[in-house]
Amino acid sequence: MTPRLRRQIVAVALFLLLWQGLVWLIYRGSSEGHLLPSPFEVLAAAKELIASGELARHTTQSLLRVLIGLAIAIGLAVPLGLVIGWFPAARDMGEVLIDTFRPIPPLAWIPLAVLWFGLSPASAIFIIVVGGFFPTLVSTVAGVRGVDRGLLEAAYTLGSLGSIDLFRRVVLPAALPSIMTGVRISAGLAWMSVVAAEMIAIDSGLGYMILNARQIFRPDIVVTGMAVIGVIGYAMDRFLFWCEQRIFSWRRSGRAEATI
Amino acid sequence: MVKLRVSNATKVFNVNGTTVEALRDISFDVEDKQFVSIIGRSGCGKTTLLRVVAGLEAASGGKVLLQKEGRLTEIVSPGPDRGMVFQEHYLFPWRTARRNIEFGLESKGATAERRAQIADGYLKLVHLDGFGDRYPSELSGGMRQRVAIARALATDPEVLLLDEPFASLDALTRMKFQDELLRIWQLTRKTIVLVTHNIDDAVYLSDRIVVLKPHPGEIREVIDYASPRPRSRSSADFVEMVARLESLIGVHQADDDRRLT
Repeated sequence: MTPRLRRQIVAVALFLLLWQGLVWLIYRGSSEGHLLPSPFEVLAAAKELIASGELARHTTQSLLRVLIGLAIAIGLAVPLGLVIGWFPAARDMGEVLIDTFRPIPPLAWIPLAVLWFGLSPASAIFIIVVGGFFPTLVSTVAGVRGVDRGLLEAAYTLGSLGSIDLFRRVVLPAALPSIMTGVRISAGLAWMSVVAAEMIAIDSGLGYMILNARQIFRPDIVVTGMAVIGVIGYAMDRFLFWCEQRIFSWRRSGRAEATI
Repeated sequence: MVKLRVSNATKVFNVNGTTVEALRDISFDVEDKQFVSIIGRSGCGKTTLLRVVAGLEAASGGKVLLQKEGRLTEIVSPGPDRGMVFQEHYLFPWRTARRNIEFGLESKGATAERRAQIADGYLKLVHLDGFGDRYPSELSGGMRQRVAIARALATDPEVLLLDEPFASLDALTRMKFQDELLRIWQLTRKTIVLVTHNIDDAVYLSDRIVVLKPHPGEIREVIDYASPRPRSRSSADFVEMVARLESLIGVHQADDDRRLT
């Protein structure tokens, strides 16, 4: 076990202990009607939800929406970002629009989404697209703008003259680390957006599960839902980070300092 | 036979509305298989001159001509017929050494098999066999510079252009690298144009030395130096040539200072 992993386990254990302590302090042994459920009650609720298949159903719904939404967002943001990053005219035009749209939170789009798509998964997916679009767009633009001029010149002198060839062999790979970072941020935002959208626009998914649990007065289910959202978000980020490390292994350095 | 001819080349930059004359009326020839150095103090436009030859900057006036298929052809854009080694080497960091060397061959449409074969050959030439699968971040500065040379040579250019390739090397490594470059030059029988501010580089390596003076960049003198190789740094003609270049480049500093005061 690495020291890092050990510390992480300690942190989680400490948090659970604190939580349990707080519950114990507030309720002093009374066992009914806790508005703040204890970790054990949450665990029990989770077991119940797993047994009934409800948790799996809602989780798959949410994940599926995020995957679809994120795919659309990335599919739109990357090509657009490449164009805006590359052509100065497109950059001047694009930047003012991006910087105006970006501060509008995905939540603010929900009323429009409901008007356009009704109370349907399409609404949720729309919100995810909006949430996931901008981080990838902005970092794609930054990635393209950040391509070292010297690399382009090197490519010119090596016979790469067509702009498509230059894009494929130089601009895209050079910008890819920045794009990947954007995708990671997008995934996080998309995941947050899906929960919000499901609370308002549809009747399935983790967001819906939480909201519904409030209405039937089950705070243990609310917290279970929150915990699942947190854990999945964490896992998603770790997974994408791991992908980044794998794809961009060329960025690690210092394997050999040999003589000339 | 003339391999490369720079004929009345001028370069004027426009910086915030004011024009800066970087090169004025530069003319010189590079013979086939010759090793030519362009030397001068910083600000003399030597890198600009090399970039004009590479086609990365367009000359404001005059011409650069390259011997291709039996006749002198004007150069207007960059191309793999002039291999360029940049001071910062500019290797593609996401490609291994081998795949960097293959870049220009991909442009030419060579098959994977042929590319691998050629890359192997050049890795051997620069003494990096066994390092082909390393990324630039995993190589030392000198090794990166050698990959850059191999990459520039892989497309079999008419001339090899080198922009201060020794700039980041310490004195001992520099001398080693000079010999390495000589060996590569003798093995590949290429025409080489080297830009440097180091007199020892120029005298140790060159058949012809183009001395530039700054503000604007103009030719001070073109010197042919026919001393046989390997050259001894303590030989009389070497010392004499160093002194001559020192005075050509250094005297000018006094001129400059006088003009400024």
